[in-house]
Amino acid sequence: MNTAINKELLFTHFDGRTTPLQIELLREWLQTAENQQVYYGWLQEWEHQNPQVFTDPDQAYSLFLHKLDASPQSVSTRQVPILKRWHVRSFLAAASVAIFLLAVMYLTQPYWSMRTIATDYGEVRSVVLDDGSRVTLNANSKLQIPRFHLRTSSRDVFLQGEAEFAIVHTISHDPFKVHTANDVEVIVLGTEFTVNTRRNNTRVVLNRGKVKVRYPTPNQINTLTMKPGDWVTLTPNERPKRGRQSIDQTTGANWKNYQYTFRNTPLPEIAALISDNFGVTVQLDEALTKRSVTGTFHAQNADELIQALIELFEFDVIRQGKIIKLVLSDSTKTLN
Amino acid sequence: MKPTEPGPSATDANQELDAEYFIRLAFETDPKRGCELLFRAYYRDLCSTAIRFVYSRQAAEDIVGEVFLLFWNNQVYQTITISYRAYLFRAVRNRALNYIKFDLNRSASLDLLPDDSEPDTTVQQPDQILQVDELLRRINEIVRTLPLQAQRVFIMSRFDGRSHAEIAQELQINHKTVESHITRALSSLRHLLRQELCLLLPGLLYALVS
Repeated sequence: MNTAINKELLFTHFDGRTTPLQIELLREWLQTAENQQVYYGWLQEWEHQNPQVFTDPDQAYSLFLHKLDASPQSVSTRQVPILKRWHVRSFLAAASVAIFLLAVMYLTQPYWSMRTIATDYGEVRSVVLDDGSRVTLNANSKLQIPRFHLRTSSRDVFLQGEAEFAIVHTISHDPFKVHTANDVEVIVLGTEFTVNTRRNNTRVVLNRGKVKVRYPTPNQINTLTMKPGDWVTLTPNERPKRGRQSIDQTTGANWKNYQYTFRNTPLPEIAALISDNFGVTVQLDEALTKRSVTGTFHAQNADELIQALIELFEFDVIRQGKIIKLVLSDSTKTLN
Repeated sequence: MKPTEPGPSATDANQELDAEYFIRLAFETDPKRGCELLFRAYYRDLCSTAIRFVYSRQAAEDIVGEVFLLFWNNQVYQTITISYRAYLFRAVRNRALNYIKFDLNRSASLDLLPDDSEPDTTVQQPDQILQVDELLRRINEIVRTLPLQAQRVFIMSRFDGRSHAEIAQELQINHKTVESHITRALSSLRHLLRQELCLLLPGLLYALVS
């Protein structure tokens, strides 16, 4: 045993008067369990000589016995469960917070996992996707693109409104899928086509290449394949309307250049287009609903388009905020 | 004061075991009797050591009571390999330290030192022991830096367990003054100890991990 450590030194230590060097000695000395026992023994002796407080052991002991009776052999088993229960509780709390966060993330997934590109009324915008494909959004349209390419085997986008797609063919032949509101899917490898999904209809016009359109029917999911120049209009619970037009006449996406081409297009359809693209409601006179229009017009906004129509039809325009009423002018009426 | 059993003095472990020979013997035949002997032998000294940390007579007595309760309920006396008094003093000191930490940081309990609720009879890290001593020394220093009157009030209140009214009457001061003295003493203790513990904690953690 280290002779440098004796009771005097330890008492000095308990008095708080040891030097750092002596403390270092003590540290060495305290390495063994035996010396630690001696340390606590001397500590007791020192405490006995320097009492801080005068207690009554008899009274304390009877109190102790009383406590023992109150908690027969169970304090320890009570103590540990409290700790454990606390752990369990904190674990539960952490778990429920985690579940809550997961639920919130799951519910809000469309918001954080998708990049949304939206255009205003009368605005046309072009975006280039990560794979080099270009999408031109017509006015009042919304395109959602996944932020994370987890499933790299397919490129999925979600469209509301109207857009022209010029899709690049990838080396790995990844299909590009446009999902529309009424569960129609347009699947392509690499082509140019226009999708219009407004008013619950989906209209696909193909300029080049080949696309596959999957659409739900009450019983099953149907697939149809389109060739260049084809157009398809899909309305839920109705047979698809198909047609062809020569490619040079394609009216698919003239709106890109603010051009509107009509070919025997009924006026109500044009009114719907104005309302979709420019956010202006057009109300037609009864007599005007049967008229149709052919021609190409250049218009940046609703007023320009209506101005062009006025030149054709000579009707009066009544504006009420966002509502435009088109009425046959009196002179025309008398002519009729 | 009437002397309880003479504090067994020891110069080495063997002799210490001898000092506790009768208590050990009592535990073998009648644990309850052994416990009583142990209680009477060390209760006052244990309270004395605890109060150096917690500065409250009530808290000190509670701590010692809890240690004995655990000692009895977990039947530590059956598994213990070191002397009873080494175990008890160690347990009281650890518990007192945990109490301080809890007191300083009421929101989170820091069970950094084993509570000795399970009889951990292995060798303790020497650093752990010395850091507890160091903390004790700091507490004393902090109390010593208090103004004389505040010290007096504080000690009367904490050690002698007297009420504010009694202290006010004895020292011929205002009741409010007593309160403010105690509040200030406690807050400066808390404040300085918190700094102290921040420095101590990494060391303690290290000692526990290694």
